[in-house]
Amino acid sequence: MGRFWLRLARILPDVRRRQGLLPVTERFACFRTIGAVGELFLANLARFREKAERDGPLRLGVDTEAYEALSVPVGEMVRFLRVMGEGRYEELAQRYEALDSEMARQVFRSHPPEPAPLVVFSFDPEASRPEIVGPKAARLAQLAAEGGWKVPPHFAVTVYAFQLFTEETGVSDLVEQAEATVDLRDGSVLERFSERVTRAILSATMPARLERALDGALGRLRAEAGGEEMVAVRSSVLVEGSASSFAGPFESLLDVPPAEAGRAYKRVLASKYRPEALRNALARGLLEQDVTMPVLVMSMIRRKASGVACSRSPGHPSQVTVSSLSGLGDAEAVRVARLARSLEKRFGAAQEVEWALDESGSLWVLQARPLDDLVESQVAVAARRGAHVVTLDAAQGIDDGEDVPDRRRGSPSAAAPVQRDSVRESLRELLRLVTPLTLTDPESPTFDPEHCRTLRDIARLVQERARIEMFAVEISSRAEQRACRRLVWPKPMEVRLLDLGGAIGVETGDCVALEEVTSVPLRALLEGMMDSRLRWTGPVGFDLKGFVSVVVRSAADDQRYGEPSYALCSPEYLHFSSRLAYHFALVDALCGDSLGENYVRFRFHGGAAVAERREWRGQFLASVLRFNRFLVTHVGDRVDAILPNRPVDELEESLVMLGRLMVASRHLDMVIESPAAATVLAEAFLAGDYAFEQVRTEARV
Amino acid sequence: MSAGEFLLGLDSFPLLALFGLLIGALGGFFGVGGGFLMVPMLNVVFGVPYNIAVGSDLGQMCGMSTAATVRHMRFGNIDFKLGLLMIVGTATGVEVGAQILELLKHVGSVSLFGRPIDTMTLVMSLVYAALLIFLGQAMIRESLRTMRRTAGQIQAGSEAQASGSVLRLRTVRLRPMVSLPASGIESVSLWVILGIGFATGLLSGMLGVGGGFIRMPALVYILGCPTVVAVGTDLFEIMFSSGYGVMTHAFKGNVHLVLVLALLVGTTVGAQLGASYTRRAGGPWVRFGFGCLAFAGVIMVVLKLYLKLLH
Repeated sequence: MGRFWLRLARILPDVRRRQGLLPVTERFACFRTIGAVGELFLANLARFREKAERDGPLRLGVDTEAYEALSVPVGEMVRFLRVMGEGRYEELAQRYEALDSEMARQVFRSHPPEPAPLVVFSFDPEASRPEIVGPKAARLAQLAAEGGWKVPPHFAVTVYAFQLFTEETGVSDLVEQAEATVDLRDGSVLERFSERVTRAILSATMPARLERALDGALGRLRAEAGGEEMVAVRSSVLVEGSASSFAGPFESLLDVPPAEAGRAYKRVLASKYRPEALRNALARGLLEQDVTMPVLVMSMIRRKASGVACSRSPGHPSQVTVSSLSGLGDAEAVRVARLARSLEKRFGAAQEVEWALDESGSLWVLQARPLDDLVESQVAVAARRGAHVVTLDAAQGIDDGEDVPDRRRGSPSAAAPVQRDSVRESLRELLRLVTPLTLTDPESPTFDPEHCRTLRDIARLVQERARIEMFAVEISSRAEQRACRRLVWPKPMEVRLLDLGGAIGVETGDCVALEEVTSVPLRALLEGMMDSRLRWTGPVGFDLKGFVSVVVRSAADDQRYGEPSYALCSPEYLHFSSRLAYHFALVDALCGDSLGENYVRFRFHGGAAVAERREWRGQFLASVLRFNRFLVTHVGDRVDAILPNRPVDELEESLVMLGRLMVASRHLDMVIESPAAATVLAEAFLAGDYAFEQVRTEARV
Repeated sequence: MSAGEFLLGLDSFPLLALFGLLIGALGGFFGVGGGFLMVPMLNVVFGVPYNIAVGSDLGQMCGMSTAATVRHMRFGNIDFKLGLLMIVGTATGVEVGAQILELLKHVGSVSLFGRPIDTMTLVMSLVYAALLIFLGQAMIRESLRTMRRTAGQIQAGSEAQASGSVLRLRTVRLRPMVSLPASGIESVSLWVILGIGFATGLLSGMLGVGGGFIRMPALVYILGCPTVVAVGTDLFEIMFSSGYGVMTHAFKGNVHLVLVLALLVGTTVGAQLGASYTRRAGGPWVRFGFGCLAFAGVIMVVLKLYLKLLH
């Protein structure tokens, strides 16, 4: 969450600083902010969707966090669009407000105020909730509650305790900061990060509340365990599911005296930041802050023997494998094997069981987890370390009559293993108001605020509307005109540049040399315009009817043909408007790193000849643009085209093409005699004959 | 009414300035087209004889275009070779126009339907009526078509035959040919340049119309000048043709100084007003509006002529 605010804060002040500047510049700042905040929104959305989909443990309150990280950016987007639209878009703002309050209601409903215990015993009501105590403790609590299995007395140090510890000791700040500033994919950076966090955790003082809770719980545990003082302290995290490759690497400490329990707790927490654990988390796309660490504290059993057992031997499903660190009699091995099978029956899937046999002959369950063939079996690990391994089957009296469903084949569990994960459910509910994108086609009549069903719809609509607002930008005030600088270039076209920030290498002077232009889209457009195959001057052709129509129109037209072309640009953005002779052409392009934001938009209308001919020129433009994969609308002499979501190099190519097209279409309305001519011209243009030398016949008068 | 009877004193200055404001606003709104109405309306409304209306209008235009040229100097793209060559044609045209008017002035009266009428008034009224009718109908037709098309009522390419024809470049190759390096034009017939100059000059000298509405498209479309050069050269030509026009008309006693000043004041203010409204109206609507206005002008010219015949 802190990371989200950090990023949002980094984006926003940019605009506040710009306010009070030229209207065009301010609009552009809003436009770019909408883009950046939109990206942030999508990144956050991807993050929370991943959390909702995967099976890992979730921090409590993740839904509240998701609500803020998703709704706030969209709210900001709407706000900036309204700045651009000078207060318009009331309806859109209302739609957003409605969605926002619906989300807030939902998040609040799923969070009735509840106690947040720091330690939970197996008989406490929260004991079977894995999102609080961790899955390991939750399973043991269930076994203990149901009877039939002997589970050593234990308690869980909950996720609340983890939160309390990391927040009060400043560890969470340290982690968040590091995450936002360094690249953990770099091996040496990761190691240093791991070392720093580990040191910080081990040297931190236990928060007083947690210390008291832990001491109290240890006392109670001793009473329950009949005076046994020593405890085992281990992580209660257990990642279920196929990709659970980081079940193993956490610290597990045995024979810890009560006085050392606090230190042991810190060591278990610190193991969460071991390099291999971090690498595993990164490989799975988990953000560090998503992983929480509940801890299990269990009384030690005075053991005669202990080990691990698999209810199904890998490769030999009818057999049970039992490993033991010390010698185990046949009868005892059979007991362990039966225990494994009974747990398998209880949980509805093959199990791996940690067991211990005490001096009085009682068999204890220390841990039970689903057997997962993607993770190396603890039995195999034990075998490598020199443990005794025996396999047992029906010959030893192991009952195989039960049909055990294999969870890997997706059969339903015989018994619900753990309580429903309510945090994940709440998050999924919330995302139903955010994720589905129903507004996909900007041309559709339903592309409006009324039809926005989700936050993603609103974000999409805002982005589209912002582009249109930017498209409609015009240099209007004197101040804006004064801020423009003249482009010095070899073509007979007056181009005035307005730098929206960083688009021109040199900061001062009335003129800008071509080499000083650093705006990627402008450079591409000018490159196209300067193609040596184009003809900028000279007669294209003469047609009396066309000429008379030009004269009639120019006798009563707004005389803006003398105006220069304007290029408003930043390094990634270009808004180029030109009134060449009697037509009007507009290019609006964003060529950044983000594919989703990128686009080139083009509009062309006007001309001086009779309406049909202008329309045929439109037809020529439309065919060329369609060939270049633009989406084109052509009505009368007006052509609107857009090329969205392309990488920079493709957009650059399109802009070079547009530059050529804008110059090549000069005066074509005068000479284009039929729709068929439009086709011939389009073919010539696409073949690189930009001056139409090959399709021209000369008639002398 | 003959030229000799016409007197304008300083007392009519405010009224004339107001009139200039109105015409100026129309000019600002409708572009060059507004100027078409200036001369006939001066005659119809104020009874200014056509020769004096033309001469004084040119005076007003000269002042306006000088100011505009100074203002647009920053665009500074004048093709002087082209400009000077064209001046030869323009000057000839202006002189011929002014001489025709002079000729009409001295012909005296002719008899129409048994009644005597001043020849100059008759001819000029008819010429203006014809000009306004032509422009008016062309604009209305064109604007209606554009509006229909923009509304998408006509499908692209529905009414024309697909002839498969290619571009035909029709060029005049009458020697001598000249090149215009400043405009980037390799070779063009001198006669084309002179012809454009003559046509616009004739319009200025005889009708007091700027001629830019022909010259600008001709520079751009016929010669293929880049727009920046066309704008600069056009302004240069307007300044010259109206300047020369004022001079030759002044020698012929056709320029009324008070009238020129009144018009200059009015049009300067009016043009600003008109231009600020143009952007709010769509192009086809502006032309449609002007078409209607042109017909209103025709009716007024014809009505005035009819009333004159009645007296």
